[in-house]
Parts: sequence; structure tokens; C-alpha cells
Amino acid sequence: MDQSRIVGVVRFPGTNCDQDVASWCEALGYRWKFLWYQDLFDVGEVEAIVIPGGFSYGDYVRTGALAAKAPVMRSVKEAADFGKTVLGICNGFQILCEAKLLPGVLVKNDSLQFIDDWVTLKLQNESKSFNKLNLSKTSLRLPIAHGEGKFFCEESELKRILDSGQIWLTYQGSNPNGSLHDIAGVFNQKKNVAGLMPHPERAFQIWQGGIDGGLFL
Amino acid sequence: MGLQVMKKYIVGIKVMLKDVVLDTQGRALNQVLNQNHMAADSARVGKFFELTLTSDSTASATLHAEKIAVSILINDLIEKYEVLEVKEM
Repeated sequence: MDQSRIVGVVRFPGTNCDQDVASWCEALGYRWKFLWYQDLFDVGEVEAIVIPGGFSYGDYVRTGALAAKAPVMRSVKEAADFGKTVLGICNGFQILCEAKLLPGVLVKNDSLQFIDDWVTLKLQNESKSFNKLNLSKTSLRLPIAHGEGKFFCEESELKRILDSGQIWLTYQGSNPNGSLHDIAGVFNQKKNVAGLMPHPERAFQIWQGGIDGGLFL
Repeated sequence: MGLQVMKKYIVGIKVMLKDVVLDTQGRALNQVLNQNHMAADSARVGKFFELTLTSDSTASATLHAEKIAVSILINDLIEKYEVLEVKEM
């Protein structure tokens, strides 16, 4: 991604990884600005959009369901249609699924427990929008922290996204939440919109316990 | 032309997980019921929404409620809904 362009970081009531994502963008050399959930924004102003994790709208109704209908998402959709890079992390992934910008949905972990751990991920497919990740390095370590991270969709839809190369990341070793096909992250059809349950913005410095998160934007 | 009189309705909507989705909350509840000697054959956990709507008829209030259910109360990949009651206030 062109470093002179701006990364938009979306904030909903209940978003709590916004500052971490901003620090991550800065460390990776990008300029960034916050995007308020009640406002539309000028799509031309941003090169990429990140929807951070948290508990938007307190997870009311369904995780991500109310945030998916907030005004800012109209601009996010427009940006996605325009081919801009859109990344949803954790609750951001749930929001993108609820907004139908990504396939499937995230439901409660099989264990019913909130899980806070490190996982090993396998990169399944590449995308031009996330070009620091390539198949020469397929094993990645990132932290997870979620209660509703089990990826679910109907069998026919699963087959469709498998066939079209829309699986971005899978859990390697053990599957922490019961996700179908061990899915940890997916793309849209054009592969410019992606979502993942793990937190790359919590692993880009050695003191954080890992640096693989630096490859995700 | 008949005069349209707007009335207020209370609409109750039940939302349940589809059978294809593992109902983890229901499973946990059932386990606790069994442990407490209150065994049920099965338990499923859903949600109930109560909306107050202004409409000219029961039929149009129901239609309005269905539109709300489909657009935001359920995710049709995993959930189904049922309009349980439409009561004039």
C-alpha cells in the first residue's frame, strides 16, 4: 500500500482496539485518521479502512449487527465497491459479515468460553490488497481474544468460498473455537475486503510477543 | 375513500437459531437442568423482541415487523423468526 495515503480507522460506541490499530498503522509507516460511526466520509480521502475489534454497541442483538447498519458503513461499502482495502479485525470481522461485505457469520465458540490465547495460522490464499503476506511464509503467530469467533456458513456457501480461494487464514494445530474448516479469516470475492479473528495489531513488536502482525497491512 | 385511522400496536417477535446451528447456550442450559434433576428432553435459547408500531391495521403492522425482523433482528444464515403476537394497544 502507498505509504502517503491515509488509513481510516472506524470507531463505533464500544470499539476498544481503535488506539492499538492507530499505533499499529503509525508503526507501519501509514498516516491514519479516525472515522466516526455516525458520519459518512469521503472515500477518496482514504486508501484503506480498518474496522478494529471491541464490543460495538455492546454486542446487542448479535455481534456486529447494529454496527453493520450505522451510517459510516454506507461509506465503507462504497469504498469496498471502489476497490479500496478494507480489513476487519475480530469485532470488525463480525461487522463486515453482518454488513454482507464478507461471507458467513461468526457465532459463539463451541466451548462457550471467551478465549485469550496465541494461535498459529496458515496462510491459504494471497491477495494484492494484503501483499506483505505471501505463500513463501505460510505459518504466522498471532494472539486471539474472542467469545464469538466460530466461523459458520452453509455447506454450499463453504464449498463456494473454498473453490473461489476466499479462505484467507486457517488455524493450524488446534482449532480454538470450532470454526468450520478451521477458518480464521476470509476474503470477499474481489479479495480487497478481508476479516480475521486474530489481532495483528497486538503483535508487531518483539516486546508484544510476536511481529507477524506487521504483515497484515 | 375510507378514513385511515392510525393505531398503536405491540408486536412480539421470537428469534431462534436455525437447527443447523449448534445452540451452545441451549446445550449448557440442558446440562444444568440435568444436573439439577429438572431434566428436559432438549433446551434451545432464543430472543424475544417487543416493538411498538403505529399502523393502520394488524396486517400492515405485521408486515412492518417482518421487514424489521429480516433487515436487522435476524441474520438469515443462522436465525429464523416468528411474529408471535400483534396486539392493538
